[in-house]
Amino acid sequence: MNNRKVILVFLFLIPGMLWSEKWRFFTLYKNYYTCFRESWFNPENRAVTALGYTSGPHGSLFQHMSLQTEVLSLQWQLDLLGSLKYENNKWDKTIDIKQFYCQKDLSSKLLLMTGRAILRWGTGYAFNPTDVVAPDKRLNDPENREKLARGNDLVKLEYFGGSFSFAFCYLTTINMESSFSKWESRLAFRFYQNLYGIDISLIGCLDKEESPIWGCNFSAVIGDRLEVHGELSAQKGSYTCYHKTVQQDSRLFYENPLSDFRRNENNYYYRCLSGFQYTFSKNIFWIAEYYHQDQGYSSDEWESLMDQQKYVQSRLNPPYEESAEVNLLWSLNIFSAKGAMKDYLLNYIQICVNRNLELKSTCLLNLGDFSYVFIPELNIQIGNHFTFYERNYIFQGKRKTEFGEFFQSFSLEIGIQVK
Amino acid sequence: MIQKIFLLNLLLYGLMYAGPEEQRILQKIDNYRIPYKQFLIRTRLTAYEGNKIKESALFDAYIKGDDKSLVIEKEGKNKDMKILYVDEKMWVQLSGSRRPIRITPMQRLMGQASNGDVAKVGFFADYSVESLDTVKLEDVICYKLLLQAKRKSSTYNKIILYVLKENCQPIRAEFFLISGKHFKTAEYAKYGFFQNKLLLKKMIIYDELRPDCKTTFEYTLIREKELPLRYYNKNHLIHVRGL
Repeated sequence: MNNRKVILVFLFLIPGMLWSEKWRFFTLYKNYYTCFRESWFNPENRAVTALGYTSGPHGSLFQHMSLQTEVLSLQWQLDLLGSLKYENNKWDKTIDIKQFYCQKDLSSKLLLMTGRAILRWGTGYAFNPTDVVAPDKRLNDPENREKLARGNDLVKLEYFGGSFSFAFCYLTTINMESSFSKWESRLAFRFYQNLYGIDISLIGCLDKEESPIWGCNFSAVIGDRLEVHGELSAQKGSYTCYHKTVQQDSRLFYENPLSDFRRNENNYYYRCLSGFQYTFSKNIFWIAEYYHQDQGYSSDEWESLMDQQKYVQSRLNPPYEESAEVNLLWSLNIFSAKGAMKDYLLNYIQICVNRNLELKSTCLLNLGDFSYVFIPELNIQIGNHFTFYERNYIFQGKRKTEFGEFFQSFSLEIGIQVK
Repeated sequence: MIQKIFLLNLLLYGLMYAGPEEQRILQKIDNYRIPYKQFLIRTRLTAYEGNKIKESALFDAYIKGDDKSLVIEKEGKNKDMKILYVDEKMWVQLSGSRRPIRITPMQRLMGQASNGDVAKVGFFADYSVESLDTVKLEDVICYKLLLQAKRKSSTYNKIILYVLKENCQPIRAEFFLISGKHFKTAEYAKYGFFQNKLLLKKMIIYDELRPDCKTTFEYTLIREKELPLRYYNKNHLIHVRGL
């Protein structure tokens, strides 16, 4: 974004702040250090360099601003995120509209919402097979910090009864974390009912480009300490992008190696999640989730993909061998954001040591090859406005495993949040 | 955050108690906390550790009947946090989050939020009177009521409640967990008039497990207020504005 646009945004913001009924700032400054893994597919880190990543320390500053106001009985919300990063010896600044929507009460039971908004319909913590309206989550960051997410453009009409609600949602863009943004029309609907204390939602999604998705989810509390939740979705054909080398008649390498070639299959692909949250005494919480997706690679497919890449690397001369490596790394980056394989297990533990100190630990285990991402985190609250945090991402696994081959092996993030 | 939730529960705990004479007493007690069928109650909550203020927050609670309430934190560490209670169910919507989270009863018991349950306790709807005695408490003649929870899911299984014999004003309540542990004690410290109704104005909650900790609840505003039913639907929490 050029300087003139930045200035224009600020000129718009100042009157916006004066005009709005409620506004809030949230600043995040973080330093991070990333180590890239040298592997069969990334010798000397050359493919990582080719993808434009640089190792070593980086700093970035995020500024989130949220404005709320009411004009002509329309309730408005604007969420902006500005970022300033120093990478590759240059400054990179962006300003992004994360949410910008208005809502209006059409009656005491009917609500209309339109604009760019982040909606969440799932009940899961790290996985949401039924969340057809939400931006995609990154599996290697299960918390998927919502302040950094970007909403979808949509119109939503929701009817609220006593213990039920019915929502229709029309979406025009779906933004995916994998950087594949799709422009499409999608109609999603949800029927929610609280039945015998259980939150139950039935969800459907009609898409111009894809076959319909049908799903349901639930959440319930059992006894004093246990919350259970689950989600299930089904879709005819798979619209996941696979590396083309999985196909029988594949070539050695491709300019664009990804393809959703299973989209026209007649069999149904299921995604399901089951999980629970348990509250121990002394402020300790434990969340565990099992996630299965039919769309993921089988162990055999994964192995063949790895073998083929290794073969390509051994046969080709520069510069082609680098292309093959980049293809694979790029694919891994995309797959691992959404889960490349079929079965995962998440464990999350949060310990509130006292009012100001919080420890968290997240572990995402790939049950196909037992590779894992381990994310320990420390939060220290300083006064009412500052929070210091430290977070690691540790990718572990043997060679040929998903997280073992992930190009990032370790990263350390240290930051401070100001509210 | 959990601590806040606790406090919030408190807001809702009123006074509902249960046999013909006992029922009548419970209802009278409730009238000091639940003046209307639907109303707004604004509460300043201050948590102390020793003599030091540990936390302070301001909450607005929109009560609808015996079983629904929506609580919004107006000032404090978790400003804009919303908590929805429907029967025994509870959801929390944190500021900036796009999804309400279902909370377990144990989470409600942690931190200051546990006070919320003490404040909320609906005596008449949720408790039956096991025994009724006349006793002297600090030279004042009182009724001593032993209350038993009607539902197993109630946070407090047993409550010993002291009320003035002459007008049934609550003076003190002792809250016991299902394990029999004495968890909290509430002192109903001050009464005042809100729109010509004599109502509870200040309550102090003592933590029996941590004797140096106490929390005060000061009710600064109580008035009749009706919100549409959709405000008590968990999916509407993300749309709540202007309250």
